[in-house]
Amino acid sequence: MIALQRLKVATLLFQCVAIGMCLLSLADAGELHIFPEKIDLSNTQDRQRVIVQEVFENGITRDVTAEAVFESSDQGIARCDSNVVMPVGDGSTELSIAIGDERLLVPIRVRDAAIARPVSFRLDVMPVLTKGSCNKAGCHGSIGGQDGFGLSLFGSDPAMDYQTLTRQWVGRRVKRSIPDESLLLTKATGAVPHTGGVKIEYDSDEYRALHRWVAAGAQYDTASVPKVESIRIYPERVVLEGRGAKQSLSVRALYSDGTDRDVTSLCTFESTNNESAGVDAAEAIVAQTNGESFITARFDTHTVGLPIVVLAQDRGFAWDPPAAHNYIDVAVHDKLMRLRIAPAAICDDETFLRRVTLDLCGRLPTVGEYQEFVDSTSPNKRTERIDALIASDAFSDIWTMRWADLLQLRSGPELSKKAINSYYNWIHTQVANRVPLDEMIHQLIAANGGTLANAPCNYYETEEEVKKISENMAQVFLGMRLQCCACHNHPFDRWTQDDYYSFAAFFAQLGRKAGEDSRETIIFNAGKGEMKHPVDDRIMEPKFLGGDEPELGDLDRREVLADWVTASENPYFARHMANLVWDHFFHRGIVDDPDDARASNPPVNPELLIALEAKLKEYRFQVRPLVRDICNSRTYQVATAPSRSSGAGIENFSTAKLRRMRAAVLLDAISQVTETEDKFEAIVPGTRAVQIPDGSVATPFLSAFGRSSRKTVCTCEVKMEPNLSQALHLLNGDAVHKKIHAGGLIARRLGQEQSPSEVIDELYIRCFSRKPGTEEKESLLKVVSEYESPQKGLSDVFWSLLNSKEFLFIH
Amino acid sequence: MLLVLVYPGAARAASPRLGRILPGGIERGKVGKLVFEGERLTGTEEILFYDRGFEVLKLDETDSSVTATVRLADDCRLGEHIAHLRTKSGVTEFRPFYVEPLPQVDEIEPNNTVSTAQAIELGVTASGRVTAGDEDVFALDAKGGEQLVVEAVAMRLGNTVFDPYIAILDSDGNEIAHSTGHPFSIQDGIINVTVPSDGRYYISMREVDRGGSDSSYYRLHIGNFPRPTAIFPPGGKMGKSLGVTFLGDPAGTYSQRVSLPDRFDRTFALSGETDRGAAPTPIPFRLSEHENVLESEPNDRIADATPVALRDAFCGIIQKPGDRDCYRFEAKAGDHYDVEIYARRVRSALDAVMELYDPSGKKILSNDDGAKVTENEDAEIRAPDCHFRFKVPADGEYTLKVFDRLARGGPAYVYRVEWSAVQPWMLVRLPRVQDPNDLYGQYRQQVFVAKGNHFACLVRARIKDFRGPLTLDIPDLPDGVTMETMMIPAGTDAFPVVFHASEDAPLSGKLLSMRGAHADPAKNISGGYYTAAELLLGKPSLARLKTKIAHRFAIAVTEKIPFRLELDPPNIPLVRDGKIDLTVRVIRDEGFEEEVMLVMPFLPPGVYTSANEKVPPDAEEAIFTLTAHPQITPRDWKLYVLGSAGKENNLFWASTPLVPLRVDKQFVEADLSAASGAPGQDIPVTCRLNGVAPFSGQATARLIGLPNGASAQEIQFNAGTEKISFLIKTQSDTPTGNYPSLACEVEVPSPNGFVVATAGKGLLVIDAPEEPQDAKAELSVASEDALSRLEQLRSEANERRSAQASAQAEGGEE
Repeated sequence: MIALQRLKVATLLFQCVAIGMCLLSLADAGELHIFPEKIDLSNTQDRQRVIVQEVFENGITRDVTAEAVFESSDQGIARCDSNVVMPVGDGSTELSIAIGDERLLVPIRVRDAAIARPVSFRLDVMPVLTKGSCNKAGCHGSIGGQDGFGLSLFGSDPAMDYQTLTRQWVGRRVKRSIPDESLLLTKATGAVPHTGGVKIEYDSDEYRALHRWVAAGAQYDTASVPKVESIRIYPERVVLEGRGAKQSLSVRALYSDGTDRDVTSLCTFESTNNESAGVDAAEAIVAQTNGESFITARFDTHTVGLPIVVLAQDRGFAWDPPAAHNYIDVAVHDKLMRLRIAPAAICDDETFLRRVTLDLCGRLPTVGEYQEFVDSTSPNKRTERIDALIASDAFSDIWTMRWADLLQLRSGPELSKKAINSYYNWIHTQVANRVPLDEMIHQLIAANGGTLANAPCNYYETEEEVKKISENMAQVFLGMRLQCCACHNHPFDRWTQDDYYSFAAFFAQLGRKAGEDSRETIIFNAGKGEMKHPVDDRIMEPKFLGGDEPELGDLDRREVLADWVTASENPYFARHMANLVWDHFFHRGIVDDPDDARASNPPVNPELLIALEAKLKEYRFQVRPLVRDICNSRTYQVATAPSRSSGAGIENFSTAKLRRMRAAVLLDAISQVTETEDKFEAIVPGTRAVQIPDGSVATPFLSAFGRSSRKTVCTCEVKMEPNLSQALHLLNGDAVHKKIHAGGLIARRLGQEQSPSEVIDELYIRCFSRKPGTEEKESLLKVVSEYESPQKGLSDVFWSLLNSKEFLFIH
Repeated sequence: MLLVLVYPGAARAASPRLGRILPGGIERGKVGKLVFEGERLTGTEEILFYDRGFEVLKLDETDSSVTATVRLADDCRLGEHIAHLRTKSGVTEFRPFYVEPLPQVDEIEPNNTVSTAQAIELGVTASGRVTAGDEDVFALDAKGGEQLVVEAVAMRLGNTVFDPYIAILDSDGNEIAHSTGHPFSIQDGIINVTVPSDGRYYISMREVDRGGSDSSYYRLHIGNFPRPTAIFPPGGKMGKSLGVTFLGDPAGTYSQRVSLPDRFDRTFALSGETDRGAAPTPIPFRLSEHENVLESEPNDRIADATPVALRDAFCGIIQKPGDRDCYRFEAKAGDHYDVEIYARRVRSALDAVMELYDPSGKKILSNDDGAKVTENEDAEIRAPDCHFRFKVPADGEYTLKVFDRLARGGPAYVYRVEWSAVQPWMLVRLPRVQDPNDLYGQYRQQVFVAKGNHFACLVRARIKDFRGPLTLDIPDLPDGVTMETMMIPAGTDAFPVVFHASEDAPLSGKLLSMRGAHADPAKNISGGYYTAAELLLGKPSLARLKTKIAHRFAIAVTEKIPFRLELDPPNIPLVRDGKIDLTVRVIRDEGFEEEVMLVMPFLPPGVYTSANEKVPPDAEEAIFTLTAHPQITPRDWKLYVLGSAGKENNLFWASTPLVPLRVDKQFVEADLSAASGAPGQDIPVTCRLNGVAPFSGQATARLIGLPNGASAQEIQFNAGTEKISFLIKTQSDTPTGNYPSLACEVEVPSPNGFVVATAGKGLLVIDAPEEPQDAKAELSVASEDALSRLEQLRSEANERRSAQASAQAEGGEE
């Protein structure tokens, strides 16, 4: 990459912070970046598009390609058509790029300028089929094909596609004698009716590529045709200012023979947020509303991504840096500054107390805790409260519940209640005893023994199918969803079918047999059994995802895998665990969904995730210190009301999200404030909803509010969406009304000669962790006085509070 | 009420059921009480124990429980026993209980917390029950350095699914040890601790998940008794005296010399008695014909294998994690062996895997778990012990390797491998009859014969590695009882067995063995009785949690019941594709006016009949029509009909005596020509007769399977007739169609009556007749006014066309 400093801007970022204020678009000229940094052309057809980007001091980028004048220093070697460079003769020269009064040079090397690359099925035809969406799941890539013509999904199996095109219906799909009459072309151009419509234009580049291949005899490639090893997208960073701003893209594929190729026009581009930025027909990003987006380019079986930020035209935003409590705030604020968003103010003590108690312990603060906290004058009272809550047993209950959800603790034909209870108790012991995450998860993956005698073995009872075990393992412990790869290469990620089956091979020797207690299964290393590739029955050797093929010998494959997964060097594990912890407190992962990390779903704040990951490792995979950091951060403690400057569609942890309590927490909270106890089927009396070991134990209330049934490992099992059933449960159901009466709190307080005013105060503290406002109280007292008895009136007040949004939500 | 007065036997309990034996344990050498809880237990006569050493002193009964005061002999075998209860009208299933070495202390509620703990002495068996959410705490004073051992017997009682959690707490109530199970006792915990200092300690017992139920009884042995968990070697040769080492005892390993019985005893166990007492539950000890040979470490590798001979039992210990034991031996080509390991069956902690290597070191066989029940005459639960069969391919030196499935090991990982030449064997069983209320119970696996009546059952044989006719013998029947059965042919596995009790047979009961054998005594193949009772099932998968095998069955002579059954022996054979009617008569005592349900549980292969027949109170007989398969093998059989009366769950039973039935070939086979015709026509059918067996006199042939409205006359023929012709008369409304069930039934005279059979099958096709042309016209005229609008238009158009045509024709002429 070439960078040229055109204008020195004195104001550096840290200085901005130091002086407390910085106008971010002061700079009027920036660095020029040119892509690619060198041009390598290797046959007559080769082309390279060149992009010039200007990067300003404030981070804004601008595409200045159109303003640049491109000229080859030696017309005998290369020539330019606007920003596209083409070969003329072998040799080296330079591309001269003039912009304003600046002139930049890019080296050009040309080889085999006179040699036309032979037409290739994989290099020329397959990209057109993929670009034209012919092999999408909705078209010919579906399992049964479409209208009698089936292709491998996303071109995962070129050999099969070749057979289908040339052998399945000889002489029609491909007509070597009259290529123009090949159905491949007539259908695609709509010359004959095509259910999928016109996919390529007559005589377009794509058309010519297909035509050329048919005319050349529609041959399959020889073994020497290089494979795509990786693709790269340029530029690497895009921050556009103002609607309509554009940025051209360039995608280069690197091949196994060391050559490269400009494949921009052959890529499929997608945007995670078209509202904010999308890619137009000329392969350029177009800015829309301010916000963030992630553009992915897919070519061959590879996908790369590019984060895009779109900012509104500067309206004089001034960054007033808030005080960072810790490293979390530094990372968050840095991003917010770039996004021109001021974080919300810190929430008040009452809000904080309720939020942190619910998040850490799954319960509401007691009246005593409330009073003590608001009365405290300690400057560290928030930190002290956090520490006290983290140290409490309820903290273990919450994290045991989270793990129980992810590990599918649910009894059924395979898992007896006894096994579930022992599994639950084991997890609880791990959490309570502060067993580091890596150690706990290592025990699960490498578990051997009886499911009753050695609880971690139950990990292999929640799912018995080897492929699903490996999918679940990747999703729960590494945060990635491999499911797609069971049938084809992952369309939005780097994983291939080979990766999938090589990973699944770690579980191929998992042995299972009935124990002497017939409710028990013995999990053991059978020492035999292989995973075969479904396409060609190849035996797949175990291989770490994105890593090596380990030397196994007689070792237990799962033991080896457990070592790799939980190693500090593992590129996914610590990051995913940090993200899972973060997600608990923000109901949004830095990668979101937290178990769906992939090339096309990047972290919203990578620096923050890296910082948390590093801390988790530093803490030796102890969750509590990380939780402590998160709760102590300013970012966690901000109010729900957004700052004035927050842009639509951009959150980036600038404000606290209103979150409904999880089902079990909500039920416990209602029981807590009403002083009642719930009874669950076949569960020891006195067990709180968050402590239910078994996912199959459900009540209509818990189901309505979306408690995880633990049928899958997906974090999405916990449902937070509102529905009518929830409203009816609260308004008409037993949950609230009966509990108010069963608990008898109002009668007790009135019996203790408390006035309605005092009772209302307590109800507010119990339910909302705050006292009622003067107006609120006056109107409530008036309402209560109109009842025949204060008890009835106060009971209705209680009912109203429990039915309010303020109660349901964590603020 | 009238019934009760007139027929006390009928109204009283007929099918007693036993739910459990409480409190589940009783002390050896003392007088104690066992409470048998169940249903319909009035009229209890005795308790049937399987072992000696029990003297019943007194029986106190209610309808749902019987309290037995029992004196136990000093040498009564420790450990698990089973018993049935016999009443005047029947005998129950068996249930388990334990004979124990320690005195019992009953729990006294409330004892749920340390502060309300029940004080006990060391050296007792606490007897109690963990109801829902209950916890029982016992307090005792112990001296520092003393061994404190606690063993729970809870799941093993077989009452209900009850996973106990036992713990020892210190004087502050802090848990110092707990157990939720042990390889020796599976779900029942064992704890031992060396008491850290003088003081008060607490023993807590609860359900592992703080559940419990009204059936969750337990025995909690608390003391400083020896509690070894394995014996090495874990078995020995019958009749020998040998030194054994008791392993796993908290006080340390110790040795004793034991004399082994000279006869096989599958309940033989050692409780390692010392001056500290006996282990509360003994350790099973394997008896066999093999001498012991002990492993010699190091023998982890094939090269270091311990040399042994196949006539000896290889005894070893997987001493430490990763340990492997190899044995090297010579084997002769063609020899065929069953190879069994005894590990979990002798309560070793070892989950064994056996691998067999040929002389070149190549692995040729391996086994982890054999079948659930052993396949030999001594049917027993194999647990996860391995078994394989090995036919030696060539002379040479082979190696057997033994290791733990999970590569664990330790001092209590003992095992014993026995090689036995493969021999044919057989077993006989009273199969389980499904009771809708107790799917896996022992329903009708007991025999109760009423005085002056018959009772029948089916006995099934399991055979292995041979084929041949089988016989059954049940020796040592109670006084006044006789038994009849038949030799069954090769390829069949069910014996019809009928017991008869004479009018004056005394009310009595017994535990009997039965013995099946190859009919040829020279083959020397025989086998005894076994039943595997599923005492505990873990829902929802109905996993078996406690199975108990018994090798005898209970029989009782009961009071008279108010009906008998008679079955006339058929005096003609049942021939192939033939049928025969069997008439069963119910002989009711006067005043007995209940329905009697009849079934034929035993049918020869290829003979079919209805599932059951009911004889209502006002009827006296029922008919079972037996039909035979066209290819049934001619043979003599014996049959019975079993009848029951009474209410659901409380039935009383009687059977007919065994009656002979001859199954034979047909007398005549018939070959029918295909026949077809139209309704209303007479259709001829030719039938060629082929005499198979001679008969004299006039036989009758008739066609069956004719459509409605069709008939054909019967035809008389004699043994020499070769062809007969029927004329099927049909009516105009006989439905058209194919009638493949057309057949020729013959009724052949035999000395004792007519033998009826289907002699051959044919096909009758009845087609619609061709409609005559004029009939069509008539139809169209007749129905003109019923034409649809379209038909009218067509008809008008036709008329116009024909009018035009005729007009043109006329014009042409012009």
